[in-house]
Amino acid sequence: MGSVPDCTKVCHADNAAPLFEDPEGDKVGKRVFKKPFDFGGRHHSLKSKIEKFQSLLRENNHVLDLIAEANEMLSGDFLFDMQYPRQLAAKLESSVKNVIVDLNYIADNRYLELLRSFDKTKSVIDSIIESRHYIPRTPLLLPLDKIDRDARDAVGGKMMHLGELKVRLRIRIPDGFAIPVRACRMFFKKSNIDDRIDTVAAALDAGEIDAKEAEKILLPLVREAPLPRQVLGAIRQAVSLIGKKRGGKIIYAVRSSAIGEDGALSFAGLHDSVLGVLPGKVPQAYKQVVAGLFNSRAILYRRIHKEPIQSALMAVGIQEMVRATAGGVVYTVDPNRPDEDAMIITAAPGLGKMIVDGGGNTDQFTVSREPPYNVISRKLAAKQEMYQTALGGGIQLVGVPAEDKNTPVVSEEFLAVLAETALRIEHCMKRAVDIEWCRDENGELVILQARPLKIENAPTDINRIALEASKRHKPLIANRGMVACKGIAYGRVVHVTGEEAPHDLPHAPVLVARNPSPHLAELVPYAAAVVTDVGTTTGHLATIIREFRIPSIMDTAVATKILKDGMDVTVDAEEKTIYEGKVKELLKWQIFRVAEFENTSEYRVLKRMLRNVAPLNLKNPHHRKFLPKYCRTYHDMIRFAHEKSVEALQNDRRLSSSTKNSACRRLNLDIPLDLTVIDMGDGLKSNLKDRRCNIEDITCSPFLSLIEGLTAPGAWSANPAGMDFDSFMSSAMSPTAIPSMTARRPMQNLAIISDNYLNLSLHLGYHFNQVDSFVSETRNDNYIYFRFMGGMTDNSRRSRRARMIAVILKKHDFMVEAKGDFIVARIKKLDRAAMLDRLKMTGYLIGFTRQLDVKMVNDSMIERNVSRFMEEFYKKAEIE
Amino acid sequence: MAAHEAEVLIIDDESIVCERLKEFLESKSLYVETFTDSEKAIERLNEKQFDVVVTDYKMAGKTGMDVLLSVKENSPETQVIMITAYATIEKIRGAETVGVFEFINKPFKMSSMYKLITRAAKITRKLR
Repeated sequence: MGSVPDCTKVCHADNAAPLFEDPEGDKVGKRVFKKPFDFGGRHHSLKSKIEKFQSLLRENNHVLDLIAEANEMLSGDFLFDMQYPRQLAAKLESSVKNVIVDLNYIADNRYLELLRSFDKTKSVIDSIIESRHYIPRTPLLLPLDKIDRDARDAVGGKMMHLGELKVRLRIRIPDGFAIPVRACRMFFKKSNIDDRIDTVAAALDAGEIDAKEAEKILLPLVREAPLPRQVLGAIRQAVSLIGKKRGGKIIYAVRSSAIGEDGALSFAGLHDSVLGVLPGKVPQAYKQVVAGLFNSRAILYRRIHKEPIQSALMAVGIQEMVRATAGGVVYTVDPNRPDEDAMIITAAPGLGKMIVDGGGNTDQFTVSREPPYNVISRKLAAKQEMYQTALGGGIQLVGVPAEDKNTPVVSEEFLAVLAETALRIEHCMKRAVDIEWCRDENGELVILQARPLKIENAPTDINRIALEASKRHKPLIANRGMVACKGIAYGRVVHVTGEEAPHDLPHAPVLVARNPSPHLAELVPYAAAVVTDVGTTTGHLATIIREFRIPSIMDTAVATKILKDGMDVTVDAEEKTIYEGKVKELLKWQIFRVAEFENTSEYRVLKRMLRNVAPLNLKNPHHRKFLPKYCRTYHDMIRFAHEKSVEALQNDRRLSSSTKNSACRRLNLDIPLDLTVIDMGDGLKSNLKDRRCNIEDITCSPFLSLIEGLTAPGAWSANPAGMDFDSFMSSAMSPTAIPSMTARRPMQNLAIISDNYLNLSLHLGYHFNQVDSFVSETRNDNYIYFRFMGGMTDNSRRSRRARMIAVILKKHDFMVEAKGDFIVARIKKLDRAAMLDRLKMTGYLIGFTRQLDVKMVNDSMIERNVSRFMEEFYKKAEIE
Repeated sequence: MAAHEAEVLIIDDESIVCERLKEFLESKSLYVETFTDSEKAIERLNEKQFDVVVTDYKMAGKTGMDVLLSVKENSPETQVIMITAYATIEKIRGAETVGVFEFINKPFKMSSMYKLITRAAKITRKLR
């Protein structure tokens, strides 16, 4: 047992995808395994099953290591090519398959259905690797405020950025929804547009027609084809939901968001949006926008970039149309003079459409990039005409009122707000940006679009300037820790402690914490940067950090000491260095970076692949959906297999009856607890003769520590419930006499151990404790996973006890998830001694809380019992 | 002493390797040229002496070994770093390692590559 059977890595859930989908088809197992399984039914020896369990753990660890490694690849520190995702997929496939085979061996083929889920996930991964065009399985309607970076493949860059502005920066955007590419795919398929596209593509390739002629065929075809019922339903629902939310008579903007747009390929300006659409006309406008894929310019562009027109797909945004009094564009950097600290803002009265279209009638301002964002220069136009939304739908050109013709369209105050917002967007996108904005009837700023701004003549000596600037500034922390996500950020330091989330969060703070904690993870999307004292670049927090591309340095050891609350700092997560104050040159270096790693197809393929591998959706084994068919990712599958293989071993009657099996023994304890021990290797002394063993025989260090805690004076003998002896005995002593909560037949208390590994399942009365732990000298492999559930009293008392357990565990640096009376707690990567201390504490806690729910009559008992626990446990420790 | 700490030529038929390495090394103020076509790279090596050549081992057409030979012919002091897939490294080691400064497996950390290059460049400049 060299590595870690860590089933505790809880990854970021895929928000865009539906939670669960029923698997279809029944031939799955056969496709993967050419021969049907031959496990020979139920007559495997216990010994061989234990061997399979060991192999299952090994493969399980291997998968988790691979996931961790792959996640690290996304940090930007590593260089990999397409070969990497291919090889990774093959390795994962083989290990996950082995895990499933082992599970079925141990559990007598009870979970063959898991193969079906496996094959489904495998085929998705295969298609991601084979093809660059991947259509995520999403609902047909996605609210913009639920869209994040993950959704880029589903909704296109334009809508993804908009969603991000709303969710992360809390910037006002028009209310609305995205109709993802899946709808477009469905439309093309069901309305037989695909066939015509194929024909046209062939004709184009053969040179029989040109782009103009192709447009003439395809544009009307798409505009006139009927929409599939589901797609039409989604569009109508979007319209009605926006209508209900905003109230009154509203009109809509239907916007294009092509896949690849704003990304590796820039389709900017190639696809049109339709503005001023009446509710009933939105479906038609949808088709019109989708048809834009086949305008001659777009066809030409695709052909130049060798993108087959067959793969052209469009996501579409349906949004409330703002009745704008002014509108325009911001370039956060002057493309002609990128060296200057200035941005360009244009503004026109009305909808501002003329600027986007390149027309006249616009004021232009050069505004400083530094607060208070003074206007450096202005060019005012004599504005004659402007666009407005027309009452009957559409937009119309009207005259500008005489008194407005020669006054600036927007005030300096408004420009300052706009400039500040634009820089926030730039900071978030880590690129110079091109922003489309408008001012609504109440004079408030609304952002319509934001995309990376291409700067052709970026300053060439930007590297040198940044390097020199960094030498001029005194670093607070220099070259320490590990980079979880590269990048440069500036912001105000806010300390986050494990127990409480900070109340008043400034805009885009630099979060500083001792440990990765759940609170910290929640705040990540709003942060400019994250810095921790301890932590790893492969953990849950790092995954979230990379999801949102927040520059982050972990494991600095000193951050909480050096970075004080309220300090303004620049975090350079390229060089693992933190400076006091703002290092402008470094921030500017970042927005001119040429290649954006996150836009390379290698990065995106790996990321898409990991989305089907890494997230853990099946967290609660007691949930009704903890079933093979709900295993969507490889992580789900190995988690499921780990859980069920332990359960199958636990349920094996031979554990208690077999005399032949030397690996399996009863542990003699002074407390009334029936516990069977399976030794997978070096967990017990080797010269044991009889079927029982004593504490002194245990050589498995995590097990020994836990048992020490559990049997410590005070842990078990105390009877806090004040129950009478009979009920105490009945709930504690003979688990077989009491029906278990989850199993059809009684479960045994079981410890599966090796020298460094422990998996312990304890059914104490009506509640259930599970500890899974690996502790060795290799700090990075160490972990404890603790699960607690159940109790016999009413729900509120049970959940009070659960809360109490949660508080105690958090005090010991565990990451805790609690829901009702169900708790999952984990801690990782501490050194051996610290891990063993925590296992001892966990053992004590299991004993301590055994009957406690009976006593938890009100909330004040939580605190009282927490103090009692801390006092008793540590008093005892001192005496020792 | 040249203006840059090292002048580097990178050859890999995967353009992502060239692009990302170039960006990273330039941010460290190295002089970098990249080629995805090994043939063209060898032409360039005939024109200019670099401090370090980083080349992929397995490429269509001219391989990493061809590149190595060409470097040693034109500029024997120039150090060569060979990028390999994990499986091939042992295979080559025994055979034709002569003249290779270091082998590095893909995927690798860009910072490790940088360190390797600066070490190699020092040797090149000492030899000249």
